[in-house]
Amino acid sequence: MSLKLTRRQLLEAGFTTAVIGVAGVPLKVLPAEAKKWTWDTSVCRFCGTGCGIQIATRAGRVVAVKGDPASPVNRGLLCAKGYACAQILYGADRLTKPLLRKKGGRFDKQGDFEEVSWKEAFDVMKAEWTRAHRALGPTGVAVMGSGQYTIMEGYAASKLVKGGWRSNNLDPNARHCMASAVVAFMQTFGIDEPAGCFDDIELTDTVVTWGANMAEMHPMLYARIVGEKLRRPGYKLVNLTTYSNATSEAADLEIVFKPNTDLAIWNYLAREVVKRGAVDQAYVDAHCVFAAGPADIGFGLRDDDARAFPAEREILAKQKSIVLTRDEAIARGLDPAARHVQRQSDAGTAGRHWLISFDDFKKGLEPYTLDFVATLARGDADEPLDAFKAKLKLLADEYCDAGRKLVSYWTMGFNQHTRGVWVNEQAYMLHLLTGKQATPGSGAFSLTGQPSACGTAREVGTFAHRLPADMTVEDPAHRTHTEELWKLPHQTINPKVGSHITQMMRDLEDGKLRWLWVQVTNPFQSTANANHWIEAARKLDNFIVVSDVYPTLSCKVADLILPSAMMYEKWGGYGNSERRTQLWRQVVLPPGEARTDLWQIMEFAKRFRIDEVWGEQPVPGLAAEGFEKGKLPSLLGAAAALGYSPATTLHEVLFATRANRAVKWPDPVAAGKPNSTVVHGQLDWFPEKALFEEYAGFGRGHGHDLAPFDAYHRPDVRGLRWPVVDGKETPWRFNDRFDRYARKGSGIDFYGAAMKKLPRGDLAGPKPGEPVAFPGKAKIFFRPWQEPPESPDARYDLWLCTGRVLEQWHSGTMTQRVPQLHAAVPEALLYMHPKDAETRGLSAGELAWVESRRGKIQARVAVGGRNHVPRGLVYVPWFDEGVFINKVTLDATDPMSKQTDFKKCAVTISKVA
Amino acid sequence: MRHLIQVLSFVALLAVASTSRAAPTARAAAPVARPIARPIADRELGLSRTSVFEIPSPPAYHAEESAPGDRPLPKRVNAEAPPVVPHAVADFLPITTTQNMCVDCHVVAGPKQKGEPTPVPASHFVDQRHAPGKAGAKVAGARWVCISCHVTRTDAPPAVGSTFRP
Repeated sequence: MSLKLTRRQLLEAGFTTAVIGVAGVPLKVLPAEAKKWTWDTSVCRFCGTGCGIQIATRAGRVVAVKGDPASPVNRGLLCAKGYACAQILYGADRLTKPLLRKKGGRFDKQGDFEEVSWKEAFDVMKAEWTRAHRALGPTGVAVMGSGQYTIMEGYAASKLVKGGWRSNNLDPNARHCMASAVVAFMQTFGIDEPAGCFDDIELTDTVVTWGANMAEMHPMLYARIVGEKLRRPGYKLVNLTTYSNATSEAADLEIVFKPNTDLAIWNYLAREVVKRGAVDQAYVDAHCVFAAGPADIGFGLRDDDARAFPAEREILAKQKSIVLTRDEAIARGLDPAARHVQRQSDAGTAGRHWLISFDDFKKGLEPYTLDFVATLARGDADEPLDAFKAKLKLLADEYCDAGRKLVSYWTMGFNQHTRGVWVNEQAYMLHLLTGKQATPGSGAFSLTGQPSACGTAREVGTFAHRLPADMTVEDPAHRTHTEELWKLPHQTINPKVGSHITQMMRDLEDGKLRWLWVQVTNPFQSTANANHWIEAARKLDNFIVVSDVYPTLSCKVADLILPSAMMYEKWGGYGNSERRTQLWRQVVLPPGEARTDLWQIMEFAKRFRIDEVWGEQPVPGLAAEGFEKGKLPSLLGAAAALGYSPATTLHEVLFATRANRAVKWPDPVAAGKPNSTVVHGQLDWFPEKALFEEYAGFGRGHGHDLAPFDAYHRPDVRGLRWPVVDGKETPWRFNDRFDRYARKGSGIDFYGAAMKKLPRGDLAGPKPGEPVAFPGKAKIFFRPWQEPPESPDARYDLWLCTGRVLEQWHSGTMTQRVPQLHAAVPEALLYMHPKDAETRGLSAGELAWVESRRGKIQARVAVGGRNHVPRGLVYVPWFDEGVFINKVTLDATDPMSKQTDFKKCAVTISKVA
Repeated sequence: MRHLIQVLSFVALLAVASTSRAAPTARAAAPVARPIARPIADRELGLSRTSVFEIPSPPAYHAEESAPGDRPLPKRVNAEAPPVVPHAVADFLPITTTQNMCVDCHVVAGPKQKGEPTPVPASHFVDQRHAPGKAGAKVAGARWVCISCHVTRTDAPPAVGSTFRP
């Protein structure tokens, strides 16, 4: 591989300082004009809000950012992290060369890191891939991706893993972030992603946040709420949370509830809606059906305890069966005095569901009286029960008031939950019952954490079960459609769902996964129960590659580290929480030998001949119609018929196709900007544009329509909310006034097609009979409250909740390298109630042990400050590599979404002697 | 050579530790940018500088304790970036819809006078969403929660150096 570049190639790619700086969107106010700054339109690197930014460059370096006044998302403002988008590129320890563990001049897993060439890096990476693939087949290799992948990177990774390697072991960190939201969207509406948009903030009357500390996690949306509250006296904010946080500071009502009891509160609210006659009967009759599913679905834990630490076993046993608590018996309408052992018989079939009657639905709600729920859900033992009851009634008043518009927002408090899908569905339950869904100013809205959790992870489909545009690998029609669009032989795509990100870690520990490529994420810090996974990574026979911009904790356990380009050093696109797709131009060059992730994917694909990956392949457990059990068929004959030779590479088949090579570089849309993927790949075509257009082919005409690539780069465009039909974006989906896919005259048309034909039954289960179709309708689910798998007890006596802080992004690898952000919150603190600290002999600033059944760490105590936790609960942010809280957390997941519950496990706290 | 670099880095860190209370965010105190030595053990990578198997004791940092006006203002990143809050804030928080002690002090006529609060700039009186281009009488609602953008500070020195040059 030659990486030498000619001057001509550099010039063609726009790589001279003379060219950089000529073009770009002109800005009206240019106080820095004298400094010869060039301002371009771009997007913030951080959360799912997707704030528009203006980015200034001078002499090939980013020198400043500011909020984009033209962006409807943030109107010129940014949070503290957003303003740091320039500085995040310039930490002194940027990775600029590949680093490989070596001893005696050769790769050695026990060696130290040495700088190597990209050629040597890819040589070893490929040799190790082949070793794992020969031993285990396509399931022995995996890629962990990201909700921070650009749309094009995620699409390329999906093509390589699913279309090239015929493995479905591609899963993003977004699994930890909003997988529960996805399953709930699919089950409720038959199609993914929200009906509403951020405009609802200014149009609504009441905002209710549930497990969403917007003041810290989505500060610019919180700014819009506070702005509206100050403008309109009747505007209300209600904050439901397990501890008092910054969002409560502007709230009219704060409700602190006990972890996991959110499901009980929703059922109380639904019961009130019914009892008070607040059901919007016309809306429900026209647009909704009622549904239920099984109750004993387990907790997404490992099925066996072969590799468990001794203390873990009692919790793992709950994956098989539980004994109902007194409250659980009451909630199920059972005798609370009797002992009820519930086998978790639907652990593997948690997603099945069926239609029920409105009467059955009401029967399910009956146990959730105010007395029962208030006693169960009160989160602050120091709050009088009557005061808590009064708050629940006030909350019910808001939801029941037909005259008020209302939006419910949630983030990780719902999604990171062993019943995350259920609690998402309960939000829709209430909004559908009251007719407050898919109309301007009203709706249940799932906020995403990452900048492209929607745009990439979900829409592109970088999950182990997904293909683009909501399609799945399990559906034969979806596989065939994908193979046709990708011009691949029939039966290329593996019909067996791959491993989700937590399962990949378990596979690593079991020796079932021996080659792993981590891109744009830091999973060894971010996956719960980390002691198992760092041990597996470092001590077992496997090969771990981490592509990143800085040395992260995951880099420390890697065998090979690849230096990546950062956001503004490449072309890309993100999709935010409100379906807004935003594309940006590269404005500066990556440092040293850092390369774009897209270049890395495409370059690595050159090292695969199709006869290596498209012969017959073993896939343990594969069972699908048309496939031999446990096998993928050879494709080599069909490939020849498509004109491919055995020596054709995956690069040619997947990326440098005839159609893609026709999308030429240079391109006028570049407006003189560089393209490092083009330069380092020595290309005469424009891979980011070609792949975007190819990907858009999946969604156009199918309700996910994206605009043409060039449209997003127009100077008057600040992203567009899909579906974009006839050049017009869609602010409210399913509403026939705004969404051209909604049937005209329907008012509301929940047109999503998935899971819209079901058997009838009652709360106990489905009944024999023909399934019933209900096109155009959404489901109102009854979902019961249950206890989580681990709650505080005599030995581990406190709840542990984890999360973020405003100043640090995710695992802190970018923001902790920004001096003012690091100085603001330099380490993760252990937030405790003063009395809990006192009884353990601890005071503010002292060192404490935080210990669970799975591991222990040290942290310094904070009492008060931005979080006021109730007695019995502690909060520790997870950004800090030095306070490795995921050694303590529990890897229980929602059984359907496979998303980990990072919000609750049991710990004991003691003073460090 | 590698040992020399490590010794120098250590000295730099000591210097940071001893001067950090005086100038927590001063660029001069940043550890020297160090290219990755070859070969390098995994424990030397990253922010924690420990093995992933160890359990570090996190250092003790202290929130800024000075009263407003008592200490010189830290250098701003640039004119586009919101300045850091230089003084202690514990007594001035929380900001609610009816109480904002930041605004109480900082809404003063400019220009900035030595020893007086930094005036809230004119930009903050424009509601970009509802009345773009028009200066209002009050701080725009979307800018009400000052600490969303203006971070507070502790005595923690930078975790690694920065080559950012505005």
